[in-house]
Amino acid sequence: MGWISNTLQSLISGIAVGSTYAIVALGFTIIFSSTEVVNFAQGEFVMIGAMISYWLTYDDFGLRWPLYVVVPIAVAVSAVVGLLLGWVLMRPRKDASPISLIIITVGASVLLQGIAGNQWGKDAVPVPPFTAVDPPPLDLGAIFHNGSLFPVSVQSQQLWVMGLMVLLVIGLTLFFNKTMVGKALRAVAVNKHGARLVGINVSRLVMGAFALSAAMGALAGAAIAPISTGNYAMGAMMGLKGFAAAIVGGLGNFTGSIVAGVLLGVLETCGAGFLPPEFAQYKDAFAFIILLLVLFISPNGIFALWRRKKAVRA
Amino acid sequence: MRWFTAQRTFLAALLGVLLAAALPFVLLHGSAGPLLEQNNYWLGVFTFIAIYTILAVGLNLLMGYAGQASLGHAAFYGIGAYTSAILTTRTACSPWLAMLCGIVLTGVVALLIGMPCLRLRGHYLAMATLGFGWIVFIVMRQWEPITGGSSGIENVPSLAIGGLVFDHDVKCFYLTWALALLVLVISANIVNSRVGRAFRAVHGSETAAAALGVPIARFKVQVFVLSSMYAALAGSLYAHVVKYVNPSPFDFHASVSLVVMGCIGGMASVWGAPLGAATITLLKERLQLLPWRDIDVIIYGLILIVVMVFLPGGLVSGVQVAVTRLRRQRRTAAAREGAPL
Amino acid sequence: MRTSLLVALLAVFAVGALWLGTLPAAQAASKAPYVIGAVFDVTGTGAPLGTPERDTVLLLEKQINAAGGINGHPLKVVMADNASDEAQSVMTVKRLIEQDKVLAIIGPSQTGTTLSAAGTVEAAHVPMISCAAGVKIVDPVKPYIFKTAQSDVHAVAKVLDYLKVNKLHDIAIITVTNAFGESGKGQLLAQAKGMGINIVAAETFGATDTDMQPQLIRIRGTKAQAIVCWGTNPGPALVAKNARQLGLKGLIIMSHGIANHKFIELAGAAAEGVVFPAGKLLVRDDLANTEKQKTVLKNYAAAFSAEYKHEPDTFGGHAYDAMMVVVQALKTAGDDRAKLRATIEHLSYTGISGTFHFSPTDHNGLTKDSFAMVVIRGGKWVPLK
Repeated sequence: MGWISNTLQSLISGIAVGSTYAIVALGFTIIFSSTEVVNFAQGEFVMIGAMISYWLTYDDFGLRWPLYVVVPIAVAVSAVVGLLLGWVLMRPRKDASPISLIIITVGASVLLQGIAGNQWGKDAVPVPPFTAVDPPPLDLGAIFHNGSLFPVSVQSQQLWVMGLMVLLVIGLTLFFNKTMVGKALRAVAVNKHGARLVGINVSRLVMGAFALSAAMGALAGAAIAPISTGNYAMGAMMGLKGFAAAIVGGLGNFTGSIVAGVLLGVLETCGAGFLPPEFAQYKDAFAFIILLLVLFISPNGIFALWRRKKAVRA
Repeated sequence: MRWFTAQRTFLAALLGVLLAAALPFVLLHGSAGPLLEQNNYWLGVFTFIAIYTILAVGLNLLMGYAGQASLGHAAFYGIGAYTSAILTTRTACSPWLAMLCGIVLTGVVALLIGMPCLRLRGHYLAMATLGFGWIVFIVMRQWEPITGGSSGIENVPSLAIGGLVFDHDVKCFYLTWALALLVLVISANIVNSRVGRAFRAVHGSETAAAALGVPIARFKVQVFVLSSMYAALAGSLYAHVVKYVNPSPFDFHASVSLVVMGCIGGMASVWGAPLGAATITLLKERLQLLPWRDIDVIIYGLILIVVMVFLPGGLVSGVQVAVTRLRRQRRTAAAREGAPL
Repeated sequence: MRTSLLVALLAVFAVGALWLGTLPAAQAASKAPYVIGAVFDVTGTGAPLGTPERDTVLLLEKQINAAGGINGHPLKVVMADNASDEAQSVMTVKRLIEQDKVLAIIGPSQTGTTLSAAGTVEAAHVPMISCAAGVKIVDPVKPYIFKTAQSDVHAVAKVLDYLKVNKLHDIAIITVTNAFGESGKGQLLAQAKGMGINIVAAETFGATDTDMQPQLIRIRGTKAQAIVCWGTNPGPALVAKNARQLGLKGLIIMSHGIANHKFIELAGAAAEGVVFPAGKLLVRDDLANTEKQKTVLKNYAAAFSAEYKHEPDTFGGHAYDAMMVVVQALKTAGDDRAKLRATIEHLSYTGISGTFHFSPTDHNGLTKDSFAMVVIRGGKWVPLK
């Protein structure tokens, strides 16, 4: 019966990690739909969220502020950075090739990582969890049997990460469907020129989209760092995994990003847990192998395979 | 573009060869005092510049003529280096044959990646190469029995022609620059050929080029394969010059710094490549003397952003455009005044 | 125009060369100083190693010159950073040799940057004392290359001794997939057989992994009595945390890679009870007064803390040893690279990592006695008897 407990345990940690990928993937999606730019600096927002949470709570800096103050600050700082990046991306001449826009985001990623390394050093850093007490080991067996069949232990922070992901998805759905700004953003995603014609200030909205996805990234960073620890370069891997999820889900596809993000997380932990070690050691490559396969077989994401009607783009 | 004749290319190449050949003598026997003292150090630095030049030319062709970016070019560089290192240390393969194997293998791999990605519009190649770069890096790190894992492969032999072994600074310098110039001349000729004009058309407007009957996808794949083969050549040279390979020179950061070199050198400018390679190499050498940590990374980031915002064609082509514009202005002004052209 | 572009390009080359030519060169002092080079991975991924190493060497340079130098010759250290980059490491070492005419080189900090520079150093016949741990650096022996960091061979031997004494015969190992972890894994697998210890599971994790539960779940399914984890921060901290979270109650043994406060901070409560082999710097106050090392350790720690306002770590210790080995050799060999090398090869010296006995077949010169087994109790290091 051990394998049931093991599978459940792997699933839970996979979903927690996958939730972070999903949030990052959503960030890619929001920016891609409004600008058609793949923002390679997306992962750095996760890093900003984690590192500012560490900076303002850690003893050595003498601040030790409570998390309910620190996390909003981290999110706000990241949003401002996102806004700036959006502003910079609007600068090049209108006929600039998309390649130069992509390279600008690569540059921003390198720059942010450099600043973080300069400011906070290269060591891994501890970030405090949102709540200190972990729930007692969950025992699903107790429901059917008198206890101890499939014991599963969950960190409270894992629950936070999953909860935040769900809240963000609900919030974003409401935002895009119910608010004026959200609807305007969707209009920009569908047709930029049309949106401009009906009086939507496109460049301001694009900057807003950047700020939004940056804020989401920072929140994900503050939430995952207590589990994973933080460091100046964590954004690169997070960004790439989130990016892979966004592509697998279909760039610009909201639901696809979420599903693909969570799936990727689960696949990684299950791969590491159930494949023989000779293969499990390549688990970091899984995301990229899937990414390549999807690009080759169905570049609009795996969901496009059976859902032929897809948004018109590019 | 008529002024750019084969003759000029030839002259420029000849000039380059002469200057490059003279350089070690200046460095070795210069009497200009401490500035240009005899120096194997400089030969070492210029050897690396030559290797990076080969890489940068490939990226310039790819970015400038095919309008595509490779965010995993270090992977091709790495495949070249590892193929050479593995074949020469684990089998009795000659270094030249190993180099050739690496180039061919890389070309085939690039073809397999490029074909599906480049048939699509948009920037799937950037994404695919990014993913591919990571996979190659992870394999180099994990496949220990073959690649030696993180601690790499030692004792890679030097290249040799007959009894001439390229094992010392001056010899490595000539070898790498000879190959770099060869790559530059080949590239300049491609740019100037019918194929090259097609590349430019592709970059200018794909629709227009397609309407003119240019098989866009095929050209893009060709230029991508070519640039990856250049990278493999550079990698093989790296392995034989340094005599040691490990995964970290071929990671994502290496890919980014290659893109930086490409941007400085200017997209669509073959002769800008050595400039980009030299700028980054010398900048790194200089910056490490400064007390601020990670200043090099910060400066890379700024270069990428600033160059792309203000000169989306890259530094050199930006200057070129400005010069051309200035000349044209002067010419029109002169014409207006009725002066002979 | 392309031709003019080429000319412009070469002009830029020239200007760049001139700019670099203004690098601070070794100035001629009235009394010829002994010039040695130090190259560490001060920036880039190796920064946590390179920074304390650089600080230590700067401190020692000051101390030695304040005490009158070496046989009356002032000591000059040309400090360099290779940015944790292999190609850069080659160029930096070339610069130290060609431009600064150094007698010997201290560093670099990591195995990759050391081995990439090895060819250049060997060809130029300059002794180099690396601060990196990788056993490939000195095995096979390269005439001009030495290292002061303990090899994993000894750390693993110490750990296996401890397991044997405590009658723990079935162990699971979990190692990081970088040079450090691979070397540890190789040694564990090779040495365990001879000690009568069974490795019932061999798992790995990536240096940037954020979740080690899957591997630990597999270990939970075996009859392992103890877990041996070989890695550097933050991986081992996550292993300890995840193991405790999964209810694995067995002994956790780690490598000398966690011999710093960062591990205790990162692992929090899960650090409690973790056992690992450490250089004696960590437990210097608990050493018997008869141990030769004790004064060296206490003096270094006191001077380092006074200068930099924080505790020294084992990486700084490796640089201390590398520098002092060169200084000892300079005293008898003078400014001759070949003589220096020959002297180092027969040197015996007591420093931070232990007592070194270099020989033509051993360019590391340490034994497993350079380690002490340490347990973490209440966030402090306590030596085990």
